[in-house]
This record gives sequence, C-alpha cells and structure tokens, in this order.
Amino acid sequence: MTNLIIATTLAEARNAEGEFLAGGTDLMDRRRHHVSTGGMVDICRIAGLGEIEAHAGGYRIGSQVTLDAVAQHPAIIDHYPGLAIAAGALATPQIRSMASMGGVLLQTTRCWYFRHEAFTCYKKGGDSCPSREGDHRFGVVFDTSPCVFPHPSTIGMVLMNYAAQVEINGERTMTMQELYGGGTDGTREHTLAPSDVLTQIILPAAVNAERAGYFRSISRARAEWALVEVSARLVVDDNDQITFARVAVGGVAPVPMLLPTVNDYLVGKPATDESFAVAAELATAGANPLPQTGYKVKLIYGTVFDTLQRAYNRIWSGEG
Amino acid sequence: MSEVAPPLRVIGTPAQRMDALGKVTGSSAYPGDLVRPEMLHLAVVFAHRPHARIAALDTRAALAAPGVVAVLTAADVPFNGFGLIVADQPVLGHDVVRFVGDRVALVVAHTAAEAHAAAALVHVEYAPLPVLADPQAALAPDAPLLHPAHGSNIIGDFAVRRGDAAAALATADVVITGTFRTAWQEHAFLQPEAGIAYVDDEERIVIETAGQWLHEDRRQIAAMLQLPEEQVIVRYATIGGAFGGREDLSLQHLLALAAWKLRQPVALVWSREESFIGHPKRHPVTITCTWGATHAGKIVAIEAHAIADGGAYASTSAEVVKVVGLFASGCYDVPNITSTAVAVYTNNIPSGAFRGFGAPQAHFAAEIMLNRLAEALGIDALELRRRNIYREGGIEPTNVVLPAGVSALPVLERCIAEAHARFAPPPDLPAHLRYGVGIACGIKNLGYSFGYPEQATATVELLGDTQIERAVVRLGAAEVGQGNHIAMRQIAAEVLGLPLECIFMICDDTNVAPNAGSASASRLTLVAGRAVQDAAHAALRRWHNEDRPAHATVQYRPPATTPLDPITTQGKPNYAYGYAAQAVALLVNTLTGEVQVQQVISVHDVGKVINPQQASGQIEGGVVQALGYALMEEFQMYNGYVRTPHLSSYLLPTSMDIPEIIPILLEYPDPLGPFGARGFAELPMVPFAPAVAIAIHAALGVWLSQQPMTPARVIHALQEVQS
Ligand SMILES: Cc1cc2nc3c(=O)[nH]c(=O)nc-3n(C[C@H](O)[C@H](O)[C@H](O)COP(=O)(O)OP(=O)(O)OC[C@H]3O[C@@H](n4cnc5c(N)ncnc54)[C@H](O)[C@@H]3O)c2cc1C
Ligand code: SF4
Repeated sequence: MTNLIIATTLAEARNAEGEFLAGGTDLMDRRRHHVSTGGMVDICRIAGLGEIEAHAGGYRIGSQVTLDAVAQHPAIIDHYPGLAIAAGALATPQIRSMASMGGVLLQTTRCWYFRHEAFTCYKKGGDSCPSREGDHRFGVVFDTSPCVFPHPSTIGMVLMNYAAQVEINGERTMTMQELYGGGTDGTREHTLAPSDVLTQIILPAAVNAERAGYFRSISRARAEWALVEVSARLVVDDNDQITFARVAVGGVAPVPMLLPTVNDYLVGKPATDESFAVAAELATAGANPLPQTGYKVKLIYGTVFDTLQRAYNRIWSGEG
Repeated sequence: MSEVAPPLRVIGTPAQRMDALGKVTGSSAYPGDLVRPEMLHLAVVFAHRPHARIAALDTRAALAAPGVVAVLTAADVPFNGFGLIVADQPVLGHDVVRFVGDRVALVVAHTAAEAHAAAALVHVEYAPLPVLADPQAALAPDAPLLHPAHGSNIIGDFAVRRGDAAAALATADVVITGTFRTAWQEHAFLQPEAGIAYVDDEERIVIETAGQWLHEDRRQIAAMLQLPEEQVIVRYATIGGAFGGREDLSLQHLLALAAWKLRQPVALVWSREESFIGHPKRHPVTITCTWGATHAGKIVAIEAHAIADGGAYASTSAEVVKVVGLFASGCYDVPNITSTAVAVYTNNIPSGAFRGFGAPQAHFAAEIMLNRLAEALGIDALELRRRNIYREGGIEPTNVVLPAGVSALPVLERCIAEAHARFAPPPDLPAHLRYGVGIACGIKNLGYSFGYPEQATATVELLGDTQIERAVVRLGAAEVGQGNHIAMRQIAAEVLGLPLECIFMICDDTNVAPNAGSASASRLTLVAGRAVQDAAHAALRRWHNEDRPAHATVQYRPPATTPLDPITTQGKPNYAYGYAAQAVALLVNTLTGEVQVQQVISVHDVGKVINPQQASGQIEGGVVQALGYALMEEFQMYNGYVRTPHLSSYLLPTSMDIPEIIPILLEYPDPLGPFGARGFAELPMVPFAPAVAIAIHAALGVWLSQQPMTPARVIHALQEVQS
C-alpha cells in the first residue's frame, strides 16, 4: 500500500522517504501507469511557498503557487507578460488550477516509452533508448543526448527566457540553465537531488515596455504538450526598431533552448515580417533532426515567426 | 381508436427522450453504479504481452492475500471460448496468450482494492513467442500460425469482380494509382466497461451491464457456461456510449463466470486503461488502388486491394473486410471493378466493429482517388461525381441493381448548394493561413449484409377498458445514446394514436423483451422500427376485433441478402443503403501544420425524420468522432504493445477543436422503413476524413494519404512538394 507522508516543514520533507507530491498532475498520472512506485511526500502544506511578492527589484513566486494564480496575477501580467500568457495557455483550466510552479518545472518526460511499464530506458535506469530505435515522431531536433525526448516544461522554457533563478531548499539559488543542465545527460530532466525541494522562483527586474508572446504548434487545440513552443520578448522604440529581443524555444531539445543569435540579429532591426522571417530561419541553425522529426525544423521556423508577430502585436493568447 | 390519420402527430417532433432527465441530473444508473448486497469484486489479470506460452500459473500467493475469495483460471471455464462470429478467443488464457489484452485469471475478493492487490500476486510464467506485428508479414507463407487449427493467418477475405477491370484500365484515357493508410481508432466511450452479475431465486444467472445486443451477449454467455439460454438473463443499465466497441463481449462473461461459480453477486469496473486493451478497435487498413477514366469523365475501371490488421482474434473482421471491399468504388457506378480485401491475424489488439464498419477506410481511398482523377482529367471533381454517382437502378460491384431509394445525387447536390450559400473564405487571412473547402460523398449499408440472417421482433400489448388507455412495447434493443428508445416510442404512439406518455417501453432485458438484434449497422430505425410499426398495426387489428387485451408479436424480416457466389462473385449484398455528403471548410496553418476545421455541413437522407433533435445530435456526435479520426486520433501499437494506452497519448478532440456543425436532413422516403425512415448513424463518419483531405488539398495543393492528418504529416507533405 502507498506510503504517503504529509510534510509541514522543509526539514520534514527533506528527510522523508519518497517522491515529492505537489499538485500531483504529473506524479499521480505516473503512478496510475505504474511507472512511479514507492512512497510519496506531500509538500503542499509547507509554509511560505504559496506567495507571489516583490523581491529584490523583481518578483518571487513560491513553488506551490498554481499556474492559474500566475496567469491571473496583475503584477505578473504587467511585468512578465510572456510568463502570464504561457501559464494561462498550457494544459486545461482544471490542470492549471492544480499544477504548481515547482511541479511544472520538475515534471518528467512525456515520452511514451518512459511512461509505459513494459519498457525500460536511460531515464528509468536502463542502458538503451527504445524511442531512438523505435518511434520518435515527437522527439528532439537538436540531438545532444542519449535520450531523444524533448524537455516537457513550457514554463521552464519561458523562465529561462526571463533569466529567472530558482531557490532550492530555501538555501541556495541556481540559474535555470544550472537547474536543467547542459542537455547531454540522458538519465534525468534536471540536476536536483531527490531530497531537494524547489522553494522559490526568482524573477529579475522587469524590462520596461516589454511586448511578449507565447505560441505553440500542437496536435489538437488544447490540453496537450506542444510539438514546438516559443517564447518571445521584444522592446521596440518609437520608430519601430527593435531595441531588445529574447527568444527561446521548447519541444526541440533535451532542455529548453535560448536563441542568442536570433536575439543578436533582431536588435537594431525594424520590427517587420522580413526581420521576423530572417530570425525564424536563424532559429533552425544547427538542427540535426532524427529520422522522424524533420517536420519540426519547419515548425521551429513557423512558430518563431508567428510568436514574434504575436509579441509585436501584443496578441494576448498562447492558444491557436 | 382509428388507424393512423395524416398528418403525423408524433413523428417528426423533438419528443424528449426518457433517459434525458436522469442523464443530465446524474440519477441514471450506469453499470458502474450497480450494487447488490454481499457483492464481491473482481480484478482481471491481463497478459500484458503480445505473444507467449503460459509455462506456469501459480495462484497460491494471490489466494492467500487478504480478502481474496477465489482465483479463477481457464480450468474453471466450462467452454473456454467466445466471439461474435467464431469462438476463437479464450475467456481465460490457458496455453497461449496472443495479445496484451488476453485475460489470464480472475481474482475475486471482498473489495476492489483487495482484488487488484491480489491480481498482482498471480504468478504467471511466460515463455515468449515470436510476435507477428505486421499483417503483411503474417501473410508470408512461412509465417507462424496464430491459430494453428484455423490453418492460416487469414481471418476472412473478400473478392468481387464486375466486368474486366484489367482490360478497361488498359484502354482508359487516364489511369492513376494510390496507396492509402489508416490507423486503429479507439471508441473512447465515456463509460468504461462495468457490470454486476448474480444468480437469482430461480437458478438463473443475471448479468446487468452495457452492450449492444442483449440476445447475442446471452447466447455467448450461455455457451460459455453450457447452460440453456433461458437460464441466462442479460440486462442493460444506462449505457454510456458504444459505437461498436460493445459489440464483442469484454467483461460480461467474466462477471457471469464468477457469479455462477461462487453463487455470490460480483461486480467489476474497468479503468480507462483496461478498457483500452479490453475491446477491439477500428481496423487499420492499407488500400492500394488504380482508377481509370475516359476523357469524357466516365470512370471505367477500378482495381483495389485492401489488407486489414485483424489482430489476435476474429471478432467481426471477416464482415468488416467485405464492407471495405464492397465500397472500393464508393458510391459510384463503375462498370469494371476488381476489388479484394483480406483481414489478417496478428499479435496486435483485435480489430472489430466501429461506426462505419469498414466504410470510412474504403471511402478515404475512394473519395480522394476521385478528386485526384478529376485533377488528372481536368474536370471539376463535383462534376465528375455527378457523372458517375449511383442513381436509381444503378448496378453494384456485385452485379445487382441497388436497392430502391437511391438518393446519392440529390444529397450531393444539396450539399454543394449549402456549401455555396454558407461557406466563404475569411477576409484578410494572413499569408500563412490557407483556406480550403472539401466535399465528399458516402454510402453505407443499413443492416446486416451478405446473407447474415436479419430480423427484429417486437411485441405490442394494448390495455384498456372500452378504449385503449395504454400500450406496452417490448423490444430488446440497446439504447446506447443514439435515441433509439424514444424513436421507437414515437413510432408506436403514431400508429396507435396515443399520447407518448401512454406508451411504455420494455427494452433492456432478454427475459422480457424479444430480440431486435444489435444496435449497430445503422439498422434499428429501419428494422426495429418496422417491427414496432407492424406489431402496433397487428395489435390494433386485434383490438378492433374485440380480441382484448390485444397482444401482437411481429418479427420483421427485410428482403433477404445473399452471400456472393464464390465463382461469379455475384450476389445481393444489402437490402438498404444510406447516403450522405459532407462539406468541410478549414484553415491550414502552413507554419505549424495545424488544421482547424471551421465549418462542416453534413447532409443525410434519413427518409423521414422521426425526431429532429435526436437526428441532429447523431450527426453532431458523428462529426466530432470523425474529426478526431481525420486529424488526431491515432491508436498505435509497437511490436504488439500499445504505445498510446492512455487518454494523454491517444488524443481525442476537445471542445476547442469542434467547428460549427450544420446538419441537414433530407426526406426521400425509404421503401422499407417505418414512415419511410432509414438509419444513418454511421454515415457522418464515412465521407468526413476524405473531405478533410480534399479541403487540405484545396488549401495547399498537396495530397495526404495517411490518416490521421496530423501537423507532422501536413508539414511533411508540404516539404515533399517543395523539394
Ligand atoms: C493534459 C495536460 C496537458 C499539459 N500540457 C502541458 C504543457 O503544454 N506544458 C507544460 O509545461 N506542462 C503541461 N502539462 C503538465 C503540467 O503542467 C504538469 O503536470 C504540472 O505543472 C505539474 O505540477 P504539479 O504541481 O501537479 O506536480 P506534481 O505532479 O505534484 O509533481 C511533478 C514532479 O515534480 C516534483 N516536484 C513537484 N514540486 C516540487 C518541488 N517544489 N520541489 C522538488 N520537486 C518537486 C514531483 O516530485 C514530481 O516528480 C500538461 C498536463 C496535462 C495533464
Ligand atoms: S531515453 Fe528518453 S527518449 Fe528514450 S525511451 Fe527513455 S525517455 Fe524516451
């Protein structure tokens, strides 16, 4: 029978045996599919993890805050529009009202083989990737790891694009890049130890007059992870020249990808479809798709282009 | 009371269904809601592997687990086989398991949790056997046989020949070929399989569950328990959808087995995952075909070959491939046809009945081929349809005249007119969004085919003193959500001249309602409707003859069909057809490959509308299911394992994917149907996927030939034409 411990303090959580349970929208799914067994440690009642507040010139979001709360929060909407749009666009209203910011960052891969009890693979302690050998139609386009499934976290990609940091165990902070690693370790989605609790998300100072967009290519209108997803942030001056650009892409690599060459290209260019098209082309540079993921290269182009347009036009929707 | 006096009073009105209030308030009892005192709970031990020999089976640990009452295995089953056509599927696996969903043991415990915990303790030792995952490979002469006693891996095959297709193709002005692939489809009805069973005071085994054909469930359960059919009672609770997925037994027989053995009430409720492997799917089919035409736009010849993956057990595969083969020419009168179709045993999930029963797959090929042919000829595709479409007196591929009531052309014309009136490209589309419209036609047999005995029986009793006060209609026909019971009640009320409230329907119990056949093949409206209509007339006559309380039982048999002659391939496959045409307007995002269907016009000849609200509902539901099939639903298997075992990987459309749906009901009376009505439940499923493919082609200029038409496939097709 399941062993569930309800932790009320960080120390209790860290010392307990089992996998942390936040909103449960990922974990309970894996348990139902028999790919997570053993104990569970409920971390929802630990105090101090449920606030969104101004912090060090920027904002701080507790790891137990739900996606829905982030999407609705006036300060987030004002200062970090790209985060609010994305948090309101993924999954379904039901999931968004349960899913926590900690859980969305640390959720496990969507790979069908991983989530099927009949298979073993690198991410389950094995020494092979049945997806690479078998079906990998939803796999990566930047093949840098033995594991060919892309990172699942929309919000991880967006927070990376906002240069956010995360606080661990209330003690130390790390960058999003440090949290996810370099995308070469095929055995895990992040670098935290099993006893590490992600406590806060720390957003740097907002950028003035930012226009942001989030958009995705997807297999149905809603309630599904993206095939390719993009976060774009732009600032344009009075002459419609781009003065600031940040573009990131998810669904294509073992960890979310920042696109510095695209950012560099865009700054100083007019905010026109022509510039966006060149930027979108640049976003595909270096792609080395798998046999079944060639189509995603085209999706990167399309999604970057579309998201830049949306950001520029302030289209407040991440849904198709 | 007098005979029916026109105009109609009840037929054609949106009378409220009897189950409406219970369903919307939540008070209806579905099979998972049923309880009996002292009820025990079952858990099924599934094989979870595609092919293996059972080397050893040890139930001791499970038996010793808390709460466990019994563990049943093959040795406990009196006759260990079941199946709609042949009993080739073991109730509980004994020597070999042939697919992931084979049931191997049944644990009975005091609670469901105890039963599940103990199921994990049933120790089965398996010796793996080679997996046949591909139907083509399973046909190879040296392929191992899945059912050695059957003699081959062919479950069933079909061949039809009209004229001389090879010769006609050789002289045709234009000839094109194509290959089309379709995937499995899961029914995904809202309510997974469930039920209870118990032995009643009269030593009868009673199963309360959901299904599509009470009397067929009873037949198979009686055969398994080796009991006379009268000793088995099957009752249906409220049914949460079926779509063909409840035609085969899934757990009804397991409930019966446990209750009969233990003489105690038992219950079983499956999870979605168990449901996914517990019932058959729509057949994946590969169709290769060649079409030829003259410059004048006459289709002169078709050669088609279809291979369908039947999975591990026969189910209805042998019948499904006949439908695939028969509709190789869609609804077009083509003088020279050679069409073959074969269903093959593999270690995949069994394939069986699903709304359309082979017709959607056949039409995916035929309707796209027609448009491609039009393109090659330089003739408008709708014009090419007009020139070749079935008309009254038209000839089927089996060389017989079509049953009377051929309305394919007026249905198409109405669809074209509606599309002209209602569709317009959105103004100011950004460059990456392309708009396209596709129109396709469909035909589907109503009722059983090729000589399968077809009948429905109904009993009508008229009660009252000096005048008829009420009527009781007995008709063993499943209400799977389609609205059959209200339609039958309306027919009875109309004939009898009674208000609806005075008609009492008894439909859900083999013991008290006669056999009306299955809720499938779009057949109940016509066949059961006629049985009710005729029985009501007969009862009225008796009443007028002072033979009271008047009581009449009528078995309605439509005109007989025949199997095809093995040499000439001639025969009368069907007694009635339904016709539909659909127009789809959609946007394709060339950046993301996403297809957004904007509007759908679905035109159906229903003969006579019995209940407009129910008819429109059927079309709306059917279009939603067809949209999933066309664009996103792809049940996948990998070497015999299900790769999409959850609703998180098997994508169904959500409410946000659903376009505006415009149902159009036409009334060209069917010569056989009650008040001229004919069924159409499957037809929204039939032309839809090709209509989408045609619309995508209109938008992009590329042809997709594999269903579902996912973003990846759209992008892929675009890339292919660009390079
Ligand atoms: C239909 C559907 C569509 C979805 N679409 C998307 C999408 O497009 N993009 C996207 O990003 N996500 C998507 N999701 C996933 C969803 O966002 C995640 O399931 C959810 O955010 C996880 O949050 P949770 O609080 O429920 O996590 P849980 O399920 O409770 O936990 C998830 C994992 O994180 C660990 N964990 C949780 N919190 C902490 C913490 N504070 N410290 C350390 N470890 C922790 C848990 O141990 C567990 O391993 C979708 C989900 C569904 C069901
Ligand atoms: S290693 Fe990665 S891609 Fe391969 S099967 Fe495991 S999770 Fe899937």
